[in-house]
Amino acid sequence: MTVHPGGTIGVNQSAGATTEEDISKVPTDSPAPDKWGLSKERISPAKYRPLRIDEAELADISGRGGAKRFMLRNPGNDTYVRLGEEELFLWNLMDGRHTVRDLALEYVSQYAVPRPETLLNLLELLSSNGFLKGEPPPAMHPMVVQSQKRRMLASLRRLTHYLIHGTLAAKHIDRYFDWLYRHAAHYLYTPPALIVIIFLILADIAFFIYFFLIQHVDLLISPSGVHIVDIVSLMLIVYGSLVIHELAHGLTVKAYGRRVLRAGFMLYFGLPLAFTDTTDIWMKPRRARIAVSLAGPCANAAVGGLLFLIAAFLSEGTVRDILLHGGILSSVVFFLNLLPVAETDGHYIIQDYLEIPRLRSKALHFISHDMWLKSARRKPWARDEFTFLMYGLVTVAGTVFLVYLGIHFWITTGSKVVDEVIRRPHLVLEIFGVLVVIAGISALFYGLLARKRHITAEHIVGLQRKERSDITRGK
Amino acid sequence: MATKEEMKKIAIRAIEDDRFRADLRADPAKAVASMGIEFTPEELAEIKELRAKAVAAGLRESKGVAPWCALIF
Repeated sequence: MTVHPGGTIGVNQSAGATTEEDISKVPTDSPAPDKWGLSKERISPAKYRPLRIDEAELADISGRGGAKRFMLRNPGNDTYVRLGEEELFLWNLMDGRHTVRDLALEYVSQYAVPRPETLLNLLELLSSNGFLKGEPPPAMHPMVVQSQKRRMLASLRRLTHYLIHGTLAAKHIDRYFDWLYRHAAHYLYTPPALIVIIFLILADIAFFIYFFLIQHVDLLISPSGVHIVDIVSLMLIVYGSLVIHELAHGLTVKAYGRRVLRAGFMLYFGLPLAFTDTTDIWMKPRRARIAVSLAGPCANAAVGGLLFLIAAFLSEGTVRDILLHGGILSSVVFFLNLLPVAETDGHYIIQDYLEIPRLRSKALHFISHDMWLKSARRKPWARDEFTFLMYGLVTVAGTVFLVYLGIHFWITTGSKVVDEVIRRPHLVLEIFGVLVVIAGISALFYGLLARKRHITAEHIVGLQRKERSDITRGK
Repeated sequence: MATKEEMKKIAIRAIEDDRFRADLRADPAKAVASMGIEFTPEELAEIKELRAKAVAAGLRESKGVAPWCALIF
């Protein structure tokens, strides 16, 4: 492409040629090439010819009546990039023949307005997420240098992350979810089953309010003081609830025909939790994404409702107490996961409903920084910024509820456990013994799985993905 | 009102010249005036409108929050 002295523009779309090839194609019998001009051409982002990867998967995730939205998936590294209609137009032109300058011109021809940021932002995103073949565009180089400078910091972050959020994940877990869905769980996604589930959820909420918030039932089973059976049963119930929760997320991903990328256990500030990577549901529209996020908490509420209903037909006794406590704890898991106090299911539901990716980080940044700056300068707020404030208020309300739950647990159950420990110190040893047994069984379980090579060092992959997305976000 | 050819000239310069791109983002009217081009208010509004919708979709990791997390928070 050349810009003629008269100001007219011509586009030369020589197929398949990169800038380096352009240089090598200079005829030997021609006058000596302008070396400075050629060097300039080599480092010019405008001359770069982006070439999209062949294996990228594209899905239309537009909602009803809204703007067109598309999701691109890179199956090589399981990264996802959301595009608008204009960016899809540019993506389709990235065939290795059009230069960046050509793309800018095609954009103007199509949309009548030059928006260089749209094109450059897209190139940076695609390049950093592996959607383009070959070397990154020249403009990307400062980005790479910057990330190299941060290598030391990244190592330190990796170590801290492992200690606080270390994960142990089964990489090929999708085949197990797939088997379970096809052989049994698909019945749960039929209309009659969904009606029963809704009934159980409503029953759970009603029973929870009655037993936990009105009767203030404690979570201890033994009538004569705290025993190790109380601790073990509480732990089993909670871990059972979490496994059901994660199963529901994964199975709902399968119900929508997508893949569960990883699942397993992780440390969350030192406490073990189950987790499921449902990132692949990005390839489906908003409704599917909300359904996947809702599935986990709703499964807990449905199980809770079932336990409450069975307990209601039983006479006083240990079995009834265990079912009652199972119901209460399942309900607590249901409510906790709907609160948007961290990146919980509730957070994802709000984020998907509003169609604002990275809602939490944007909202926190606005509330902690921009909101005060704009208020001081008396600048008007954008529509999204009111949403950020509302999200912040919901988070505060959720935190208040969480603090209430913490205090309630302490008064009804925690203080009794501590009193018992002071009176009978060997209870601590008993609890410690149970934890050691659980850790031993878990290690044995993972060891067996690792021998089958299903367990991978996925936390490293996860961290790399997180780092990459941080860099993309310019953190 | 800018012609299509003028719009193309702006697009090329914005891609090749970082400083011009920054000026175009900060003050489009002033930036294009430096090229001898004048924008109508409608064109200015169009160019100011943020159309970049491409965004990296982050991880979706469901972490089942257990009741004892209430104590951590």
